[in-house]
Amino acid sequence: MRITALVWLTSALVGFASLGQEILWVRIAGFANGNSPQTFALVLSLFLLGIALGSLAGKRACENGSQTAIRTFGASALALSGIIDIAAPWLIMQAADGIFLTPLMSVLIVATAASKAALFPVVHHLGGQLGRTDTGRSIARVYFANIVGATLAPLLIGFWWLDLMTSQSLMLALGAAMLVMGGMLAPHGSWRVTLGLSGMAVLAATILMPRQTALLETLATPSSEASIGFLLENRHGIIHTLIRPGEDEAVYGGNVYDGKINIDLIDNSNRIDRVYLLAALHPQPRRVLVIGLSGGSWTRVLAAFPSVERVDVVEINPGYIPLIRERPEVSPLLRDTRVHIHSDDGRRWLRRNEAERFDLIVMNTTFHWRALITNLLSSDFLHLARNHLNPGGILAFNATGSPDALKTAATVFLFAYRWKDSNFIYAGDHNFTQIDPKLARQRVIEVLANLHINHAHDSEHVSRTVDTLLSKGWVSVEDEERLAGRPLETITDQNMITEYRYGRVVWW
Amino acid sequence: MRKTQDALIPTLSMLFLISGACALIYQVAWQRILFASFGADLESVTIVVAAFMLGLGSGALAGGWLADRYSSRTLLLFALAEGGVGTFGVISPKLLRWAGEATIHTSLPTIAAVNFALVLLPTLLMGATLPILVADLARRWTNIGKATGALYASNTLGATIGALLVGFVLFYWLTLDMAIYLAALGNFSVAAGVSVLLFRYPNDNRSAP
Repeated sequence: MRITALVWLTSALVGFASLGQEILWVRIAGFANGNSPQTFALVLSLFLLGIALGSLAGKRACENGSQTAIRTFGASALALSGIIDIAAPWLIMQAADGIFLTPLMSVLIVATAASKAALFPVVHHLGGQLGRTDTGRSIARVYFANIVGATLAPLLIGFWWLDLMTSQSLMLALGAAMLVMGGMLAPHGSWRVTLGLSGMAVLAATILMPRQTALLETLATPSSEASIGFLLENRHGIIHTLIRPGEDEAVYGGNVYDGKINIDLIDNSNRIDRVYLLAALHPQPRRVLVIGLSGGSWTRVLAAFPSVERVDVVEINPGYIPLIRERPEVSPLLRDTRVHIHSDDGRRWLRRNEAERFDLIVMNTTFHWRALITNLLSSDFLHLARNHLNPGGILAFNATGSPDALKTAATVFLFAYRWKDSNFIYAGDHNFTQIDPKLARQRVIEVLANLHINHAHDSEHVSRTVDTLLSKGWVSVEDEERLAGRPLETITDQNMITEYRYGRVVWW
Repeated sequence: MRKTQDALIPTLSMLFLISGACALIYQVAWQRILFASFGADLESVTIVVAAFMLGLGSGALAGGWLADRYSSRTLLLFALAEGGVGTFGVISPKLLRWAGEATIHTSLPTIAAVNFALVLLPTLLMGATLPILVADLARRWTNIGKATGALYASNTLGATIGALLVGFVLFYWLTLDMAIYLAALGNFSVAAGVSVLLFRYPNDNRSAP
């Protein structure tokens, strides 16, 4: 291969592998930590630091070296990169439940980035034409090849290959590609053969082996008591469930608790009473919007409300559907012709469906400190949701402990309260807390009957549970402010306070 | 000449570091605006990242051509690029949100095209700066690898600082738009700094060997 073509190819592959690996690191570190915005910032910083250090190493190699010495350096850096990429998942698994996980992952992120970035000056040096009239263009062509590679990474890895392979397999595949590339760049024949063959062997093994999930399983299992019930990694993210003895199956999205598979009010292991309460608060909801399907328990209960004619569900990750299909408690909702599931971003779906109006909008929102959650908690979004409510409609959502979420709801709606002893906020433009207890009780019992739950428990137990449900009080924004001990603030798209100022203290 | 370069090159590296920090602030802040406007699903994320990369790539080619065409005006080109990015930065919050409102009902290819068009100008200018400066420095040092390594390291070190600033400082105390304006101020400062260099070392800039 001509040196120019070889340089362009190396430049493109290094760009591809660098951005591809950044995508994988964000995913793996986010899974280990829970996808806070600080995790993303830290991974990005470490990765960029690695690129800076690698560039300096490449610069030094170019300063005094001959063409052969520079090519040898480039091949060595690629070989090292391949070895680190291949070893990284195994090393993380060894440190998964110890204090060394964070420092190890940090070192690996810097090392994987640096070993690839060391090639950046090398390929420009080998491909650039100094002293000619096209010096700038010759440099730009090598840089352009690098960016073409970097552009292909999100398209191929982020958009396509993550549906076919796990992040662990892709780490191995990238490592194998680095070894092969190292072999191609090496000036000596023996290097070429050794690196090329070992890289191809690893690549073949990665493709031929079944989907490798050991890394995610290790990171997802907090104790020996828990076992994985379901695990799916696709381009949209990672969904898994944990089964613990004597407990309902817990669902996790991106390794963050997302609820449990349970529709039984009496069991109430997932505080499903917060959905049943809506049957008491709204006399006759016909149209319901659920933003976030997760394990399907909430949607299953809402679809059992006697007056409901249609339920629209907006879920960004279609991977929850196979999970629901396998769980008999919730699978009937997939056969319910009144339930319509849309694979979309909740905010975008509302904006694109301006004419749709609902009696209930329900969001069991994820933790308030997670990246981009502002898009569902801000006053900007709550105004949008309010515009989609019918007169008498109610918005219910999980504040996950953010007192500012109640303040925000209270600035948008005429009435907004947190249900006592829960994180749930209910908001509307009429005083929905004024209910006829007898009728409300009847409606809740009807939901239980539709789900055939009242038959599974003795009637006295059911009656006591419903009485408890209806007797709990409400927390006003003034009460919330007293409890918080600070002036509450309105969450906006601009200030993102639940993610940053009042976000999670632990960053990693 | 050697003495002049001793002062010029570290200053340029420092300015390129600030430029890298500003670029990262823009990237994170613009992505947030675009996700809120177009959606935060994988399709939007991919479109935004690919649009950024395509802009940088086109800018790289343009930068290489400019570096050859105006080889004695590289510092001026760098100053203009930074000024251009800063100017776009100032108008970007309103422009990105307006585009989001205007295209919400359109198809995915249209949204992809609009995203690309929106970030094309600033990323083109950002992408152009590296080849422009590398070509200049490589002529001074007569070593392309050394120049590339030095400049890319200072730019990505700046980006590292930018990522840390955004994630751990700026978004804690400033609004999204204020962070963008701060980055624009950074670009204007870099442009001003390069202009000072142009006045201090007029001959040096024109007489690159």
